[in-house]
Amino acid sequence: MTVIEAAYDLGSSFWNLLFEVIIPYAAPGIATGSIMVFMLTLGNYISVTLLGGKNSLWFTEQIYNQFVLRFNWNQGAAFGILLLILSSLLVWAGLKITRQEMTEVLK
Amino acid sequence: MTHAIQGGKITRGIYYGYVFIFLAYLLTPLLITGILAFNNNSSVSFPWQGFTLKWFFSTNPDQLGVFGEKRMLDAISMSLSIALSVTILSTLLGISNAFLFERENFVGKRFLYLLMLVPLVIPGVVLGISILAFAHRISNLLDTLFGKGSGRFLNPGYWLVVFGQLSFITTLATLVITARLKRFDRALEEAAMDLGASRIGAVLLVTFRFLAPAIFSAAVISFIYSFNNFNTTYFLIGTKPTLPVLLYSRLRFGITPQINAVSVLLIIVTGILGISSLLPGREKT
Repeated sequence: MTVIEAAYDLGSSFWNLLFEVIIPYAAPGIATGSIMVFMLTLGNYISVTLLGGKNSLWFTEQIYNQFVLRFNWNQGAAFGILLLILSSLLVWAGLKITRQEMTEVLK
Repeated sequence: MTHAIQGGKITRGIYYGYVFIFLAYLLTPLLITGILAFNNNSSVSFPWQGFTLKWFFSTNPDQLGVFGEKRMLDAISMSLSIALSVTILSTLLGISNAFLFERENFVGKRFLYLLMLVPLVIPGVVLGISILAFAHRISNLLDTLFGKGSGRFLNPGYWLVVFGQLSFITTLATLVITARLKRFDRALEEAAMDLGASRIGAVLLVTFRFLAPAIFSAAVISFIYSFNNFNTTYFLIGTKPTLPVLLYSRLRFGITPQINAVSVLLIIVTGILGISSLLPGREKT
């Protein structure tokens, strides 16, 4: 709050304040939130299968089908690894772009 | 405080409007689910045909209530007992982990800490299949080494679900407890020891008392996560389903408001637990 007042005292406009002070300060939180939401969405199964309709095909659904319905563990595992690599890469890229460490983000 | 921060009438109107819409978006589905649980209609839909409690207590085979169907009760007790095991184990592990990472220094600490955090960003599906495949291998190995049946506890079923859920719920418990242990002033422990307490006595009487709210929160969070988990559990469960798995298998065939009745019970229990974890100390852990 004092930072905000200081910015106003120094003649900042509202938009200037938002982009120069508030967003940089909140950046770690924004990055953490985005990563968490992204992971929860990517790995979700119930919501996408129930709400996605009959003709939809989801990555997680594929993994479930291979493992549970067809007992094709090899293909299921391949899909799983693909999902793991994809999500890890995206999390890693997200952390790199925002210049953060995983151990810091998850505190 | 400047005028611009306080905001005018319009700004505040937008703010409250946004909060209202957001809460409505989150809560309306729950509210409708709850209302339909008391509707005297055998399909899950309006119109309202009168108040009834039969979806909770009926034992009529066509319109089974929650407490009237053995399969449902079995699933609930399965979920409860898994959640209880996971809660106890993950809280104990969480306390140990917190002390380990907060108090001790050893080679590879940063790496191990990172390794402990990783399950949080791994999709639950991947956790489920990898634990299943791994446990399957180990179980086969045990069978060949020590004779048939010795690896049975690693077959899909109660203990595999407990182990599987532990793998990521322990991380949550550890984070919650570590956050509070960080704020503990070690001088208090030293003071207790100066006053004649043994090291263990000091930790038990002083540190643990300070940690108690966090330990309680960790236990509640573990319980809720374990009880509601589907993604990982679905792969590891054997022939006896937990409640979320049973509900999912029901959803594929026609459903009755019995499911709404279960949902109401779940919402109430989870709500009470969630709120109770926020109460003691009123501090964010």
